[in-house]
Amino acid sequence: MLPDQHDEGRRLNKTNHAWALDVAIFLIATAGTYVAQWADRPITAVLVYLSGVILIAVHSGLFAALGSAIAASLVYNFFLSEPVFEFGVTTADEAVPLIAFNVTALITGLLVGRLRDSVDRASQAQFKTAFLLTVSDRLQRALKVEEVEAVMRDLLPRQGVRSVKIFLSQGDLFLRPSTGEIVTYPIGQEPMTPASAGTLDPIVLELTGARGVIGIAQFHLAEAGSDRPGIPDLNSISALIALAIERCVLLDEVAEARAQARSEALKDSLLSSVSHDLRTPITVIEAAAGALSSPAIRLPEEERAALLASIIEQCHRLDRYTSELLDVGRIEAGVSPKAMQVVDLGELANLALRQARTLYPDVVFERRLGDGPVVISANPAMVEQAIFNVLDNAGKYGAGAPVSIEVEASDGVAQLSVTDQGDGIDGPDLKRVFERFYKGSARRASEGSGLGLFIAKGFVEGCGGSISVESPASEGRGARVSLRFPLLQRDERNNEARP
Amino acid sequence: MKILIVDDEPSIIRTLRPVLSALGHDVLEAVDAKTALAAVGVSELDLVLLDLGLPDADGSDLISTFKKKAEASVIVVSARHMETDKVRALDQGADDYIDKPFGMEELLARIRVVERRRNEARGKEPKVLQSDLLRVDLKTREVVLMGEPIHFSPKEFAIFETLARNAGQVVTQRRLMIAGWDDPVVDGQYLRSYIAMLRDKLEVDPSDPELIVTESGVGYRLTEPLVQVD
Repeated sequence: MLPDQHDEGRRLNKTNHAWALDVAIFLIATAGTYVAQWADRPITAVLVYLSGVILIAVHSGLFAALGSAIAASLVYNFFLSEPVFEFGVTTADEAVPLIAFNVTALITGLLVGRLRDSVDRASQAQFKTAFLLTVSDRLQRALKVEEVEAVMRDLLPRQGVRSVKIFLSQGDLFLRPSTGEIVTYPIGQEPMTPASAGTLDPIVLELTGARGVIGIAQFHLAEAGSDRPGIPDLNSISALIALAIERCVLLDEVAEARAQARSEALKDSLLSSVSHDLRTPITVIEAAAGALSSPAIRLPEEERAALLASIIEQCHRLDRYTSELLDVGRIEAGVSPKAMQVVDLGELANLALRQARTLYPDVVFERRLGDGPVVISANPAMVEQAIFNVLDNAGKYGAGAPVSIEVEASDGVAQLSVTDQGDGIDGPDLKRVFERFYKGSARRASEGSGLGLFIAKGFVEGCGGSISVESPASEGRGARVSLRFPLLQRDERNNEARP
Repeated sequence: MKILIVDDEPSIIRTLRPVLSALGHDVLEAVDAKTALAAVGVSELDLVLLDLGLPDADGSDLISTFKKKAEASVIVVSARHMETDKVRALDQGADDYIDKPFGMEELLARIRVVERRRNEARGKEPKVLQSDLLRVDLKTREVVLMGEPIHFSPKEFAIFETLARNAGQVVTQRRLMIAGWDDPVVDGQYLRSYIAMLRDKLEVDPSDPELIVTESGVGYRLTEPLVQVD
């Protein structure tokens, strides 16, 4: 890890402690030796001193060991060996301890140094591996090439790499997705290997994936100095980057293919809906008008009247479909907050009911409204249309049986539900009734466009509400569609009424 | 004729039924494939007006049943003007198709062609096909247009003969390629240049053809109402 000021301070402190300990060992050993010498145990005295030198060598390495060995030689020679207070070696007995001190210090120091080096190397290797693991772990979570670059820019400075730029190959050029910067390869030079590092030129490495070279990474090293803990393994890092980028590119392609398929499916359903729902009424109108105007076709009077009536009916149908397509456009445009008003959900239900009764004169619509207004904030035209679409659906598929509409307020929720007694909606259809152009499998033959409930959902959600459907509604029959809105409390009403 | 209308739109059946009845046809109706197939077993049919977009099946999958079991002619009526759908339906044996919306006169004309061809088919192999304008002798390979003899190369005649035998109905490119080259996937450019040669010899204004019209992406139609004479 790159040492900062704080680390630096700690390291100095640690060095002081080490010295103090060495000196302490030396003094203790000296005292021990003096005691042994005084007790007339010269061999023990030498061994005690020797132990001190070995301890210092193990603790502080070669130079401290040699230093203490020389100091021990001097002290021993001057203070402890006969003649006392005099330097000089006259007998072999005097020379042996001095040689032993220094040889022991030398050998122990060298061994300790070597051991330390290999421990250092191992921990450095472990550190690099740990770093690569961290890199690979962080890259796992990157979903975009920009994120890959951000992760590397975050992690690499700890490794003495000032910054990194990632470029993707685009034909002959290279594009940096995070900034849009474009460069020609190889940025004015051949790609270099990490071996030529040391200069401050950026190092450029190719990113090679399963499909060949997919891009390049440009590493800017920090200035060489004590701050830099050596060059990280840029080849391995590049391989990790390449892997991550390849995954990002594949993810992009998958997402793109999915979006493409979705838009194709939507286009397809739009095409078939428009061709079916617009052309059917036009076909009826053209064929009926053609039959009425042809001198070759002689029709009884009541048949002529029926054809004229169907022309008018199909014109209404065309008009309804046009409105629906416009409603879909309004959903896509979104609901403006300015169009939100404080309204009574029961009042809107009444308005929608009036329309539904005109369209389905034979169907009984039972109205169950509570006492007093159920006040919500919504776009009244949209919610009325949504309620009408739900009623229209119930009228169409309710098998002629009564349809009930209920409005109630409880626990801060305003709820409107419409229940029919038709055949209900099959499980698989139930999940999809609110989809655009979706018609239930048993219902495709009828004249619906598949937009009614889609529009209802769009309008209700646009006004901050929610819509749901359950089937069977009761006794194994029918379906119930429920609209829910947040209920406005009394004070909120006043605030919103006078904005 | 006995005509079955297969369409998931009740309003279309309601409009066609009185008109076809007034012209003396027996009209049956079906709003889905299931009902349509049931009708095949019950009574003889001459013609099926078939909408391809049925709620319970793809209409073109019913064509071979109508052709084989009921020996009925099939006119495809479809709102989705997709060439691939039309070609597929024609390859499966449909006699003709008409796009929605259609003029009533147009539909009745197509029905008349089917009626005439069904009557002819009951007789023997045609020798001569004739109209006010055009006379085609299938034995001697003589073609006469408004009293003028027209000379065709053998390949030109082979293609023209296929159009003439199906006069009034669309003939797919595939069928014309088989007639001319015995190869359904021959380069379409060959067929286009032979059609151009036929038009040069037959049309008043070959750049604005009225006799041999192109059905975009599907094939060609000889519009002259040729009838079989013996």
